[in-house]
Amino acid sequence: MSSPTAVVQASLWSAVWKLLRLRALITFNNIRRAKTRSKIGYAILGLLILAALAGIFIVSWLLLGLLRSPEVARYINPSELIANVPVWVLTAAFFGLLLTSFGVLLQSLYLAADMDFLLSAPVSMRAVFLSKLIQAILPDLGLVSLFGLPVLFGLGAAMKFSLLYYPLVLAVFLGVAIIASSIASLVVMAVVRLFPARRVAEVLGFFGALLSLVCSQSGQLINTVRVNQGQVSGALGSLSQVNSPWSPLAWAGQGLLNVANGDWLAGLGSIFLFLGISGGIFFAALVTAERLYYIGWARVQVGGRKKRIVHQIQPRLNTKQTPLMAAANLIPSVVRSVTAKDFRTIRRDLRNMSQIIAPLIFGLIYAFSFARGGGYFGRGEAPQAFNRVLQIVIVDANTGFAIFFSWAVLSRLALMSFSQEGKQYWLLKSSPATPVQLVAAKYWVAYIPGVLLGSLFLLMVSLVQRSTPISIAFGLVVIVFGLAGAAGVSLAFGIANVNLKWEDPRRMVRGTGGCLAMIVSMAYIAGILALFFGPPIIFSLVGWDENLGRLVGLALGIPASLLCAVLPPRLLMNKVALIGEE
Amino acid sequence: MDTLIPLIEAQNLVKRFGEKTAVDQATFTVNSGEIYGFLGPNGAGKTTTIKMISGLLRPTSGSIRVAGFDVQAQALQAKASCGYVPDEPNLYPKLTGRELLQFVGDLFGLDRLQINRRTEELFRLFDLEEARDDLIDSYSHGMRQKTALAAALMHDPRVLVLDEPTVGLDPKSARLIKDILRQMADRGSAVFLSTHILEIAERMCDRIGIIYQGKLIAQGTMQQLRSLGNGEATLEDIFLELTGGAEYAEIAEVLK
Repeated sequence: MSSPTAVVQASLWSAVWKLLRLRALITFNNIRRAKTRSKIGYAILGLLILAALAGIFIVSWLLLGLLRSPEVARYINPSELIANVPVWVLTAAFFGLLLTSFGVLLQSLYLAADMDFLLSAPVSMRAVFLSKLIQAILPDLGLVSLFGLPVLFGLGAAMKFSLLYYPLVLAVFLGVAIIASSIASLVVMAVVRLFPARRVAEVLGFFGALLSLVCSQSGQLINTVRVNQGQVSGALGSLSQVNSPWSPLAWAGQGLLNVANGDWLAGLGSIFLFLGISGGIFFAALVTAERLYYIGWARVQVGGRKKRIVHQIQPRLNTKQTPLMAAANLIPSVVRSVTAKDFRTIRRDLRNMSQIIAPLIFGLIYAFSFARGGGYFGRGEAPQAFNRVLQIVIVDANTGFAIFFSWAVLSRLALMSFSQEGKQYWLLKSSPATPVQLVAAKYWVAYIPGVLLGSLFLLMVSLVQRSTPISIAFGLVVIVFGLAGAAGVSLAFGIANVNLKWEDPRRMVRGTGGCLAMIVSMAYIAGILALFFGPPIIFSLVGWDENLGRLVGLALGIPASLLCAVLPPRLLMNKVALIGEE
Repeated sequence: MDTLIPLIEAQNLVKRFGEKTAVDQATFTVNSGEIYGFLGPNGAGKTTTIKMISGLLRPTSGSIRVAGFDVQAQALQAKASCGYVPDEPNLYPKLTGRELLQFVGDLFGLDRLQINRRTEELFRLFDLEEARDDLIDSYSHGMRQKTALAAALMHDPRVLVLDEPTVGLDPKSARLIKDILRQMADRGSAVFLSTHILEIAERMCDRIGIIYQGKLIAQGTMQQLRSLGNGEATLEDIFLELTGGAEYAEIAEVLK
């Protein structure tokens, strides 16, 4: 048998091409070997992206076309705004790309764990770094172009710019992406020198989730804010500051406008200067990153970083046992320890926290809205019976909202109950813990935060709205029992859809199972609220004592809640004994 | 030596995954005071057998008793008598070493004083005192391996089951683990370990079982295994002969 001989990859671009082809092959394999429903999902996503591109283009075209309207000219200076639009778009694209490239490069340089494999191959180090940077640039460029390109193309269409404007927009976008990714590669190395890469990824994921939620709910916040013309002008004035003569992005933006308006020489000069700078930054970053990685600067954490130590509270001797401690001791030690362990691990992993932060933000925004709305129940001229029913409905709506927010936290915790054990499940599986004990512990982990959050929200809103003590007490009972049932229903799905084979905690709850669980537990919430609140509303409508109606509601709702708390997990107890044996 | 008490008894153990039979009619016994080495090529069924002994995997048929308890019918009692160290030390990364051992102590029903005393002892034994309040996230592979072994020893088990316990350890830590296992056996525990390092098996184990394609093809003391060959063979020779040494000869030819 003849021995194979290793061939050194002398050509830089040939090696880069091979590395990029490898990445393309992995991506293609992921799509090709995906389940049919995932492929359909990819196809739908592609169509949605195309639709979004078209939508943003048309909206930009129409809105920017309005700048010619004399009505608009009364409020703002259209020519000043047009002069600023390209710079604003390019600046937004730059910061968006900086953030996304940071995440992509963190993953590909530090978390993908393929760097040593690639660097040990007979290809030049530059080829490896070049391919990594290109891998960071391409997807992010696509993503940012999705929002930025249609706006600039829409501007061109609305203002009837020359045809050369359009390819130059593409070239400028590429330059922006190159600058952002180059800077991001160096920032990643500097950050990872100070903090562990996995921790940085956790923090990034947490703030990403937080930011997207705040953005998605910004409409709710804006509804509570009154904006006048002066503030609009002030905001536009502040935004104009980014169009500084010292910013290369401003040169590119201005260059585009010059070309669009027929000032070819000045326009092309500015754009080529910008592209030259972006090429220079790219080369400098490439050489620096390569060197920092090779000499080890970017691979060793230093900088006086304090070792993270979780301080242990030493058990105090000869202390009296408080009633709470005595009560806690009644709970089996396995249940207590698994519950405590889960609270610790969930709290310490920001990727978990980013999953449950959403309901908290919703809760805060709606609580803020309620607080600003005050507590007014109907107008004075409405019939008294109507006002009373409205009052019950509004107070009940508070309880409903409280249950909804806390249900969102609770269901997430219940769905990830067993799945969160992941590869560590062997510790529980090989211990003498019974399935009932494990289910009980997981139940408390889901239920306790949910019920605390719901009760707190209800108390806060009820105090603002000056609800009666009876209605507050009734709402609290509904929350305590209603969520007990919700925890049982969601936990059953958490057991049935357990997934121990995850790498990223955000993917521990599988799509279909999680979706079905949400639908079923939402149906439960609707049903249980109808049982609790139906009787007092009906009693009030027919003129009977609403407190009697509340008692009837409790008589119907509490047994139903308890049944749902116990029965669904009980039915799956045999499945718990088999978890981890696939 | 005292009368030998069988602490692990496997009878006609079978595990099938669909069409594939991972373990086929394995029967063996490990007595108190004994270290039993379990050898076999990759994919032979070692880890599957170990998982069945530890109660992690239900056998398709056959039975296992650990410390006299049937692993299926008296699972909790069997698990309470057993300590298990997996091949990959997957531990909760967001717990500290101390919190992990306290958690394991709670799982095995130890009281608080016992837990605290045992935690300190084990950290000292494994030279992990400085890292005990660090998150496991920051531990090296060897530190995790030692922490997993410390967790398995928390309740001082009568049966210790280890899957490749010395992989990834420095010589000092590997020696420490070997000494601990020997001490446990001398104190009357049964130790069942799988390993690829034949030298460890030859030197440490009182008896050795060789599994190949799911079948336990040979077991006994080194002397008994030698008698299968010319009487002077090393464990490596015996292993290669029983599990397909010809394939290894072919590999050597390819690498020549």
